[in-house]
Amino acid sequence: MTLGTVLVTGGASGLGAAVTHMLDDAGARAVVLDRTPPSAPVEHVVADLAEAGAAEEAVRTAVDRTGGLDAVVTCAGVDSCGRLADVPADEWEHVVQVNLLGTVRVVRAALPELERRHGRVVTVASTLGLRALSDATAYCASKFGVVGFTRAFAAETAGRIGVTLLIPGGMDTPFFDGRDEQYKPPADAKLNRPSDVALAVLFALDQPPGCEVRELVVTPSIESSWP
Amino acid sequence: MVLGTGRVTDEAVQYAVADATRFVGTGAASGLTADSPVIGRDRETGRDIAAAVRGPRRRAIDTKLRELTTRRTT
Repeated sequence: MTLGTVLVTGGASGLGAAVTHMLDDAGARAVVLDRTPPSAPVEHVVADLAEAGAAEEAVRTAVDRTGGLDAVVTCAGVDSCGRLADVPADEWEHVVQVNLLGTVRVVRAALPELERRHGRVVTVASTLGLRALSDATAYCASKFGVVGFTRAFAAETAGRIGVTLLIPGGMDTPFFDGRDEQYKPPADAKLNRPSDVALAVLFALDQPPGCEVRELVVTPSIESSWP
Repeated sequence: MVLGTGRVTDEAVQYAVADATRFVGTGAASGLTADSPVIGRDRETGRDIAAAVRGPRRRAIDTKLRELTTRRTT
């Protein structure tokens, strides 16, 4: 497995941290882009994807440090649960800023590097990028956007960049911490371990030249978010 | 059987009992409120209201309930 240098957004926790750990195990060079430094001893760039220009600067820093990128995995994600009328506008828009525009900004900034190296991109949507749920307008809008962006980007860069859309179901991560109880998984929910989903990411990254895994839906066997 | 932990709505209950043997509304007599933790139970028979529905309709009900719940796993 020769995965090269891989930039992982949101790599300080959750799925991103699991991907980073597995990349390290596989002999790849992982670089984390996150708003907080990772607890693990891994190369990282601290940046808040919601801030204008931060993604572009962070990608430039990562490229300068490493000499180039072979792949990007966009795990960074946030949420603000509640009905549209109840979620403050700036919080609602922050979700789209990070989840959708943050993804786009990182991929766009890395594009020259990825084209030069015939690299790969794995974007992380959600089962809520395929179906809608009450009290989740911001998250659904952002993740539906990631689905659309990734499919169009895959068509646009076919033959030059490998593009994979990952659609995970529920995962046991700190993503739900701090929420109102009504927005947390039920006590009996069966959630995937992030490390199991990270295996799917590495599978997509490790395809031979000319072969693409375009989309992956990875869910717990009996968790209800999909189908 | 607990079918959902989201908020109960008139729409949800009426949908759920469309094929059920007995209607249980969300009014005061039903004992259900907008914050009821379960979708409902027939007060006379003690049966869960959606448990009385079988077959393809039940699947549609489960889907509807899933849409209405605000519990999140993703």
